[in-house]
Amino acid sequence: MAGTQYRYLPPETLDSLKNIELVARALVEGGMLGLHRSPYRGFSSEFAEYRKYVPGDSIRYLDWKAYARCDRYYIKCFEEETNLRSYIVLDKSDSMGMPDTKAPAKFNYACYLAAAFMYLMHQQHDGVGFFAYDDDVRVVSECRCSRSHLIDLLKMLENLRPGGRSDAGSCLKLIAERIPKRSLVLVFSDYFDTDPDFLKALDHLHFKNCEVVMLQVLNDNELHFPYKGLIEFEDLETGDTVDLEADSCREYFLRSLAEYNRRIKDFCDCRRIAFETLTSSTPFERALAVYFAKREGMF
Amino acid sequence: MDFGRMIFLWGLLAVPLPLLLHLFFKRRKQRVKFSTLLFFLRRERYFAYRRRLLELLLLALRILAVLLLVFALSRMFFKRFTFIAGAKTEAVIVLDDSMSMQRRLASGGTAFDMALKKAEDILDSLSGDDNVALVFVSGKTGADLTGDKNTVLQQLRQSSVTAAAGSITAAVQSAIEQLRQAPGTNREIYLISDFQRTAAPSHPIALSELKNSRLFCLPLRGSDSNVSVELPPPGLAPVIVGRAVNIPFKLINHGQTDREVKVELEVDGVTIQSRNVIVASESAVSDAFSWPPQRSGRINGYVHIDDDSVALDNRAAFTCDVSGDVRAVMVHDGTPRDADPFFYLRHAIDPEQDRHLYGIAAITVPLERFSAASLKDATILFWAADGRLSASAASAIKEFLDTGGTLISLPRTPAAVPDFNALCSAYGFRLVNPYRQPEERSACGLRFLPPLAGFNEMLQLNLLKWRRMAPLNPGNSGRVLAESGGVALIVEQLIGCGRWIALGFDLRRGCSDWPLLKSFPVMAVALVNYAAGTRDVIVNLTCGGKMELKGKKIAFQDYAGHRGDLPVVNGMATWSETWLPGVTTFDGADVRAVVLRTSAPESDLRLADDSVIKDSFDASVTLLDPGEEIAGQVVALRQGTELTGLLLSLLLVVLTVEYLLGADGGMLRRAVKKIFSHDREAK
Repeated sequence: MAGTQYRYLPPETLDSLKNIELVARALVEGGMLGLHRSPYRGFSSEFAEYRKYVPGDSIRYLDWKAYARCDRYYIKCFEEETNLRSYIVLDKSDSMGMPDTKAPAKFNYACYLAAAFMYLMHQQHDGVGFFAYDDDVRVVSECRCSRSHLIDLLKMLENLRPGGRSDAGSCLKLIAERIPKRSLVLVFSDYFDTDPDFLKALDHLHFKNCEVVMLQVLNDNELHFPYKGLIEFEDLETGDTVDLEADSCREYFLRSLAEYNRRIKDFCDCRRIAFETLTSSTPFERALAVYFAKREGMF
Repeated sequence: MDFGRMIFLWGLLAVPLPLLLHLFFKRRKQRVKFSTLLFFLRRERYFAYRRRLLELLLLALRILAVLLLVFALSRMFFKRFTFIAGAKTEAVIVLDDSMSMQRRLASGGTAFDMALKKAEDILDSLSGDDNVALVFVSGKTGADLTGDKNTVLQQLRQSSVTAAAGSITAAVQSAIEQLRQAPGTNREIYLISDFQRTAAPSHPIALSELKNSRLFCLPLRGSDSNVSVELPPPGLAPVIVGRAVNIPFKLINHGQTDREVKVELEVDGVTIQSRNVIVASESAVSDAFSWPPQRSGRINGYVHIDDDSVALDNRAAFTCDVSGDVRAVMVHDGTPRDADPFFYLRHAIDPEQDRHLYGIAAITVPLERFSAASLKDATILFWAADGRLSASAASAIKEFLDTGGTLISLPRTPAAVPDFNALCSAYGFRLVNPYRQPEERSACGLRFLPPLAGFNEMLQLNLLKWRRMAPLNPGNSGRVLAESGGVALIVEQLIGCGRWIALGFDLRRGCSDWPLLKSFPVMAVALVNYAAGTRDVIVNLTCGGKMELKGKKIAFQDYAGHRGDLPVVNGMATWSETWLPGVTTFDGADVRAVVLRTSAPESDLRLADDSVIKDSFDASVTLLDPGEEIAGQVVALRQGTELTGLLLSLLLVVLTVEYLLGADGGMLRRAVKKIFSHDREAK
């Protein structure tokens, strides 16, 4: 890795992520041992609890000292460390390609973040899968933890270009069907969808006990609406245009956006889904750090 | 439109300035690719077309503001018509002097008094170079266009209300005709009238053809309460001294309230009788005075009512010739072939010779004793003589006819025909077969024609059987009074002031059985009364009318006692001084007296609406307010209304709207903000 330059994983980013550990909020199943707690009791080094011996248990885990003290058979249970199955879901519709003069485009920013997560998970020996969608699921990469897979994913990210109209509802539903239970799902999108019911697709992930993190990527223009005067706004996805007096409608736009995000947030809170809005002007590594700090507080 | 300070109109060059500024500072549309329009589509009020509309509105307001400012500085005037200042004005004052102008106004005076005052105001409003004419609605002679306003003023002051109806249409057309020939640039007609509803023109008066003309109407509104008196035409019966005569009259209340009116009969200046009569609103009451004349001769009288409104229709005149008994002279030649030709007639009209039961004295005179003296005080001359007329007899008959006597001739032998033909020729008149011998002829019935037709039904004249008759030919100038089976048997012809009535039958049983019938005496008395009547020489004429009189030398005396001679040309004279009601008598004319009556519609004082006034003309009409000074109104209308105040007010409104609508884009608002922001920074 050190000798290869990837567009979305520059060396400075790699340096800043060196000491960050990704810890999933919930225990997830994993085929490989790692740093994540598992809901299954295993036999690792970290003691969890005692339980009574039942026939069939391996006598290797009998606590003989306890037997000596109280003349009863107890089995020592340890927390089993498993590998995390994480999936990166990236919205590649045209709306994500909205340009920004002072910062990377939303799509690029999301790709940077996705690459950073991929790298981190790889470092933790977690499997990483990847999906990209617009009005259909365009890229599907199953969850693996090999180094070559990480390289493939990063190249995949490099080759992605924003395009197409967004149909988050149906795409997330399709993606949810392919993601196994108890996975960590990171969704990068602006969540601007004309179908107000697109969030219901997230219920599928919720029912599978997946940890879902929704990262809304906006740029400063969307967040602060700095436009002035007579503007002809062109919808990047539909090509529709509308002439507006930017000064007059700024307040309404911001209020509408806040209301829109509040509804998404309410939806997420009900399902213990994390929702965070990030701006493309924020250094993405800092955004990651802030995010993880917030996540750590939950454990 | 006109402008007081034309120099400021150069300011119109600044009108495009807001447009240029608008184009110069017009914001260019910026195109931005945006992730979604999701948050824009719900509210249309932010769309730019609304903004563009607002900007266009603001642009229009700013252009309007510049226009208003320029026009206000230019002292813009609004004129309802083109009046070229400094040019000569030709004005015609059309003054309504009809009887209705005697109506009372709220100020107490009459409408005509007010009209005179307003006409003088109009004269004052004209400058020294202007010409003015005066036209009376009644048709009285006014003044042609003249620069001498004193002449017109004098004529105004000498004018008075007439009892004529007149015609507004004719008066305005007369004014138009005068203006059409006038050289002046500004042409004005001032119509001063009460605009009585009954006098409104039936068709719009054509005024639009007259270029540069204006019509000012000055309606003088007053009370429409009025009571008038009218007299029906006189009856047929002769008026005889000592015998009661009926003077019927009709009172008409034109107002909206019931009235009790005092009615008086005045004869020869003396009130004879009076009574109070109640007349309901908008209705009429007929009544009559009965009065026996005490002297013979012409008697003029009035029926007078006591009414505060129009004075001229408070008095209705009548006149009559009062005589003693009707004196009927019956001439025959003394050697009748078949007894006395007037036997039955005499017993019919004067059955008791001493008492003159019907007021008729029948006097029989033989032809050989007939002379001018025989006709002294005679009213009717019956002639049934076969013999030749002597020169003295012909002269006496001619004089008798000249003085209004009536000759009734019976058919006789042809011997007398040449003499009567000569008599006819003296008048330039020829009655065909006036005097011929009856011939054998069988027929039934006799039918009287107007004015004696009323007797036909009553007297059963269809029972009459004829044996002999002398058919008459009325010619062009005769009037048939009675006929049988289409044969004229009684023909009347006016001669001089008198009449010749020819009978085509004898009044004896040899001709018919009529003398034996009961209808004969009745009809004989009626015919004598008709012949003795003076109806045909007393004419009823409506005031304002004209009359042709025949005569060689005609003198008149009007109701006020004024005497004079009428100019006669070729035996004809025209009498047109008929402005006031009353009786005018003539000497030497074919008409003895004329009773001038008021025009009945003029007593109806109901007023026409303003819309009716305007619809009476095919051009625009300017109504003047009689309550204001006329000269001031006219001068103001000529000058127009200065709109500076209005324009400045509008400018203020426009700037306020611009300020309110402009928001951040408003020019004025931006300027105000800028000033205040400077102040804050300075502090």
